[in-house]
Amino acid sequence: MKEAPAIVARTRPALDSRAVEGVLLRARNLGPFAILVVLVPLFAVLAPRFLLVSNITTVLFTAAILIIAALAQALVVFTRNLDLSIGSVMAAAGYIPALIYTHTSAMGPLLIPGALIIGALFGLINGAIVAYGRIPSLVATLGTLSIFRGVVYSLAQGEEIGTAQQANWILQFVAAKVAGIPVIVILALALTALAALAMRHTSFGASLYAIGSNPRAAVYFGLNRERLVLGAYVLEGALAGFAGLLLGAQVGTITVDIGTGWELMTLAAAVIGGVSLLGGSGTMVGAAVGALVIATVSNGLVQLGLSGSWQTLVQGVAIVFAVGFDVFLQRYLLQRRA
Amino acid sequence: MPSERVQKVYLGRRGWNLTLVALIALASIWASFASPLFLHADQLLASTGAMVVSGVLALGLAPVVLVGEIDISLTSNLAFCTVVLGLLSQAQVNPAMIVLATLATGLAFGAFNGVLVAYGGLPSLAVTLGTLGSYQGLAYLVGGANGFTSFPSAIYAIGGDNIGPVPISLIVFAAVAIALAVVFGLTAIGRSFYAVGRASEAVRHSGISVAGVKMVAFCIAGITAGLAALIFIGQYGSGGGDSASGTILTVVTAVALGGLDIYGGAGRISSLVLAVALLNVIQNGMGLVNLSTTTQTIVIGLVLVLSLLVPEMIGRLRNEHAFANRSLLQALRFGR
Repeated sequence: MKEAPAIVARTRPALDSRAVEGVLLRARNLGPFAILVVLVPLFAVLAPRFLLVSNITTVLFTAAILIIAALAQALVVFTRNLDLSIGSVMAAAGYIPALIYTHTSAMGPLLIPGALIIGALFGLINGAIVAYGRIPSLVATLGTLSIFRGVVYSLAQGEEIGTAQQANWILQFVAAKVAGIPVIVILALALTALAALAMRHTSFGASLYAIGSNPRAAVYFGLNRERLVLGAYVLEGALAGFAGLLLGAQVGTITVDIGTGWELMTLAAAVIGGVSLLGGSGTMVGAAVGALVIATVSNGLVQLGLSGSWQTLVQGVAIVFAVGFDVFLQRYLLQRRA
Repeated sequence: MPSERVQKVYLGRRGWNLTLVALIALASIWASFASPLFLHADQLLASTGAMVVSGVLALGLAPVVLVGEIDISLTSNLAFCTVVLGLLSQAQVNPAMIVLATLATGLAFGAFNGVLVAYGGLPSLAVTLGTLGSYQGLAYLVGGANGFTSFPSAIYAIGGDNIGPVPISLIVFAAVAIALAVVFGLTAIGRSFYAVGRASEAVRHSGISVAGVKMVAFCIAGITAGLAALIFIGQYGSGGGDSASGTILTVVTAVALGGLDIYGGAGRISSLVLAVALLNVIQNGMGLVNLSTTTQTIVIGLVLVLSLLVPEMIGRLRNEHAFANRSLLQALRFGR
């Protein structure tokens, strides 16, 4: 296609307005980094142990799985949906393969595919209800949150799976380090990069943004909204399932309550990272940094001797603030463009 | 005054109440066959205790859903209210003052959601998801991990005592239900809630304050959270950050089963009351035949998903049907 220079000139808006918009949008994307820049010295001053190498490794160690789960959550948030059942999906994918392994060691090499399949299956159920049933995702996944957790409970019959009952290789894998860096951190970073590239350079990624930013226009444009949302949920489920498997191996003893509260944690991570709950904006890198912020805050609060209730409070407040900022930004941009 | 026809259109789904009554009858027949203990007046009245907290919260959620919003922070609001109850009881405050303060606390937290949603223009889904965490976090921080276990007997009475054979909590539920049914069924104020839920843009041009109506909805929800907290204490004897956590599932299920359109603008309080009754029969029956709480939770979750999916599917079929009829009519008209 040839591009006439006149058209290029006409499509370029006035520089000053674009500059302001750019600064605001960049602020939203750089926000999580800024929070880290403020928080780290703050915690370092208040809690001297915070900056020890061993503690930083601990933060990264806990952040790694949250990063993977936050990537998963972000995937559906891009489409203007969310998944409250993510903690239950993680529990199912962490618990069920490990449970099968206690009966037959043949499951050993199949733990990862098992977790991915279980996660994808539960994602498929969520996606079908949300996309084809046209039920708001908040309400639909509130229901499946209990159903999936209930399935884990009934399979478990009150039993937990101890460290000794888990496959050795997965325990070693989760604890392994390469050059002092935990392998799961490298894995989380690799997945982040992969997800970021996929969102940026594939038509699937672009379609998810399109669905989230203007569902009706996306459909007029010829996108199959149902199938795309379903796809997002299936991928989200598989990714969450993988995170659940790693979480089970990391905590050692898999209880039926594993993953409880992760819906708020992953949503807070994604939202702090600039993934708007209004859909259609944000990046995978942002979600990952958001997860790092949540892990840092959790660790810092523990270092300061503050209870876990503070974390819930902080996550909740962060969600409200981030959404407030997003709505303000959206309104401001619309006003400028009008 | 809107005409009879218009009223009917926005009140609720056709045949929904009848369906609910039939389901209640079916569930009762199942329960009375499953357990000989079921069909006794004392047992039935006592069983309402397990549902009345969720029921009151569901009544409070109804106006919010009618205006097209959602409040999933209600149970966290309730948890904080029980902490306020505990603190004031510890300080030996007069029970009447405690009741007022609890209701005011619920109102304040509901109003906080309302301000952000109605005047701030933020999506209620995100706001109440955030406050779901914040309010519960606050409840734990203020109330401590152990919570409170001693309250004045007057407070216990609200959720625990009977007048004759009838639990006071059931009377409270009925009073709230009747009040809301009258407001939403008969008054112009009530109709403005439906109007906001159906076409907020049109309402704005008609001079009704959309933000004001939404604000009132969230305030009603908040007050019922305080009321439910008072009942909760009588039912469970303790209050703290973990009060009623997980109950939001039952609350939202009741609202969905009650045929309230989750996108706003339609639904009757009478249907909601029938839905709460149906859930009560189901839960009572499951409890009597000793089904595990896990199975009960799965059932409630399934009821939620189904009560949303089934009407959606029926509606879609009906639309297709209507569409097919219309094209047939057109074909006839054009002589094809």
